[in-house]
Amino acid sequence: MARIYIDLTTSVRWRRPPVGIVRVEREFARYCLLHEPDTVFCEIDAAGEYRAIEPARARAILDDGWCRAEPVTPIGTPVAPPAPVRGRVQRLFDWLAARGPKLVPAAAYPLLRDLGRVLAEHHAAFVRHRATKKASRGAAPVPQPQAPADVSRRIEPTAQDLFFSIGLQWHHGAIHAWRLKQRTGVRIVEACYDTIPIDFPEYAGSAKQPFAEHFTTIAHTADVVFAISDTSNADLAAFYRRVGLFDVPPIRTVHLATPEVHRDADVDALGDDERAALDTLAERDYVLYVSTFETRKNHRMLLQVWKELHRRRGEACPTLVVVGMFGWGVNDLWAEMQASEVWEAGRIVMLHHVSDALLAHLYRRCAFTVFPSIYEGWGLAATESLAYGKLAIVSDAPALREATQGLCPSIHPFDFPRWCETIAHYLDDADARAGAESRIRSTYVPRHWTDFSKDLLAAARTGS
Amino acid sequence: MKRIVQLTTYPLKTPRHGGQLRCAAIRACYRDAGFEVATVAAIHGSDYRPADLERDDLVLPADHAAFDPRLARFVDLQSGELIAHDDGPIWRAFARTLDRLAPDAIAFEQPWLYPAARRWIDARVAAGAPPPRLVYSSQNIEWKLKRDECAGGTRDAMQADAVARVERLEREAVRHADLVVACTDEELAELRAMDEAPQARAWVVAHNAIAPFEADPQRVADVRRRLGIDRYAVFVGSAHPPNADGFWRMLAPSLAFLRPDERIVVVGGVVNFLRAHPVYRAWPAIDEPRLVTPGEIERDDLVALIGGAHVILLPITTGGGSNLKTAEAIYSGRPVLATPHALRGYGDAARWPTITVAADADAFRRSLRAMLDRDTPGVPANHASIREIVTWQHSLVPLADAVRSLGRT
Repeated sequence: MARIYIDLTTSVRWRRPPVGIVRVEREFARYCLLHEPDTVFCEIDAAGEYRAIEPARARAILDDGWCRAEPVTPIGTPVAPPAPVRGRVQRLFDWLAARGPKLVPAAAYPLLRDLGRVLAEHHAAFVRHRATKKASRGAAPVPQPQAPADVSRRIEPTAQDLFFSIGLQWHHGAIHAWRLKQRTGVRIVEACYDTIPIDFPEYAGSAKQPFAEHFTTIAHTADVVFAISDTSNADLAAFYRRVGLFDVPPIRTVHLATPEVHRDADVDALGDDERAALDTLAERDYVLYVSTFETRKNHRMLLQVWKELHRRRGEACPTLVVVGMFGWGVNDLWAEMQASEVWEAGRIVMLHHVSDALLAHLYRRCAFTVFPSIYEGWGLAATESLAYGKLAIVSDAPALREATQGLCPSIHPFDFPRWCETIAHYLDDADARAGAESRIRSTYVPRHWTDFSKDLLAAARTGS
Repeated sequence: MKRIVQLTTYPLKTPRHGGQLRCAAIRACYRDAGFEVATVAAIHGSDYRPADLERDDLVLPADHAAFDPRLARFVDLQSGELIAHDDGPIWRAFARTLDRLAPDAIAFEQPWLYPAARRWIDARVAAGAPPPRLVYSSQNIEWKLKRDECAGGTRDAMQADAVARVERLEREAVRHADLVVACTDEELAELRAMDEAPQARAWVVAHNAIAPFEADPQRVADVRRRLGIDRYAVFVGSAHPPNADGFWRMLAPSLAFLRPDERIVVVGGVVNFLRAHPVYRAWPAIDEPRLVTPGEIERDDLVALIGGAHVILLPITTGGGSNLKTAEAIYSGRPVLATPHALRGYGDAARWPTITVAADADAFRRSLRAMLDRDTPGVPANHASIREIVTWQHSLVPLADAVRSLGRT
């Protein structure tokens, strides 16, 4: 029987609540730890060699405690970010940009202006981070499990074995798996979560080129690539055609699992800060959007919709609750949001560092969820909403329709009138909402991580 | 006939680019044939270092009003026109040099300096002296090359006028020559077609070729180690935009089909044009790690690089003449991947065992993939005899004979 090797580098280095890809690696590794005897876990060392992780250490890494959650923090008035955004750094670069053509060659002027913007955004992020830290300083420290440090042996898989390289490999370097393949001939399984940085570089900072190189390297490395959706599968195949690759590995779709549902989460188990956040929201209807705050996720559309709802309904306007990390390229939107009357009225609330328990309560109590993202590789939060039996109004991005099994209303991400109309409809028509929820509960087929792991193993064993 | 003066627009003391190598080989051929040969190179400004110049070379000031910066690709044309129309020290220096050398034959390499030579000959004939014999040694059909190099075609009136001047000059050079030399059979036919009385002069083809070379195995190993390369293709090109166009035209849309440990080593000034090309700019993170760009390197290192290459690339899609890089690749005995255009002037080279021909990008890329995938074949048994065909010693024999005949008529 072929032995299984799993690169756990991503999980080793990730010490925060796991995001999608980290969770995939962790859940698959946990499954193999329990069900695939002799699985070897490993990580990349500084020289690019894969070193085995002893079983005890692997168990510690895969324990929930490894990914510590910080106390929930509302983002908003305490941080007051507009000032830092227009702070000293930006003022300096504004001045430099204004003087640019006199001080530097004209060709360098746009570069100077962009550099100023990037530095200002970093500075703003730093100020937010510092304010968050200050706010949470009083909280009791959460003990972190310590894994025993160890200098381990280099792994020596055979050509019959399977090596899973499915984490944040573009950070660690896909080239290491390629070298391992050259040295040992092991069969390699790589992952494609999405090709968004390549297909939508405007939403991905400067990630287009690194991702292009990453996917090119895995094309030469992998015996099989697993894609998390038919959409990502097709997008990766299209990329390979675009760059003129002749021989590409088979790409197999393995749908992700539905996130774990904490149906029994008890309000009493929440921390004081979490209960306070929940009590505030309970005063009126709210709609939930679980997503990183970044341009591609299309919070801008929701801001416009909520401005309109607030204009029409005044005090009766429901609340939009946005749960997620503060991402990239949204300082302008953030400033606009905070300057709006709907924000001033407290009808948009942003939360981050939300625990699984609090998230469960947020899902259970919301009217419904929204997911207006411009493009996705899958749409984990939309499936999570369905798992809680909650209606999700999603954009018509192909992966979102695929992930929600066609059970949710889908709207073009830029169709403002339809977003307004549909959100208002489901807010006002309790019967329509109940009908949608009933259909979801009777039809939606949730997937468990066990299903995902079995399917991934099957795809790897038959696809390579 | 005893003395030959060669007219060029580049010095021959340290030949590097194709034109220099060809002219230097022709000079050596004339000398071997027993002629006294002097070269007068009319050089634009500081295009070459003083150390590269020879005694009779003439430097033309780059800031002279005759050089129009808007016609940067027509500097050679303007050099000839400048000397021919100058009434000052430039003309006097040129004429004094030719007076001193007193040639029995003038061989103008490319047509550029023909107007200057014509003026000197007319003055000499007017003074009662016999005219020297004229050898027009072409390297391309120049007016077509210039037309194709114009970025916006010849829609720009100034560029169109310059191309027309080049065409007139070429026709003049053909019509007044006693011997016309071409690099390929095809170009010889084109030059003949410009002539209303082709029977009035001699015609000969002298293919481009190379001087014999051998790669030193130790140097091959050193270069591989120094550049950190193992399995690689090599591409040699000067800083000439069509070289980059040809490379990307045949290898687009990207170099993704090369494995992470495979490289294309790019030698010569073409590398800056490669990186500025739109095809490269689409996927730089894929292409850059697959390129090794040592730039200009010593001749012995180039020979070593060629000697250790799994494939020598000749993605030549435009341009006239026959290509010295092609001769070099054929001579090396290493596997060669070439466009049909790259093999112009080398007869049935496409059928030689070391050569693979691919006419379009897809075939070219697939051929390169296949050639990198297989072990490098050994040098074919008959290669020693085949490769002699691409040496100057072989290719210039018809020229030497033709010039000797010129002396007898």
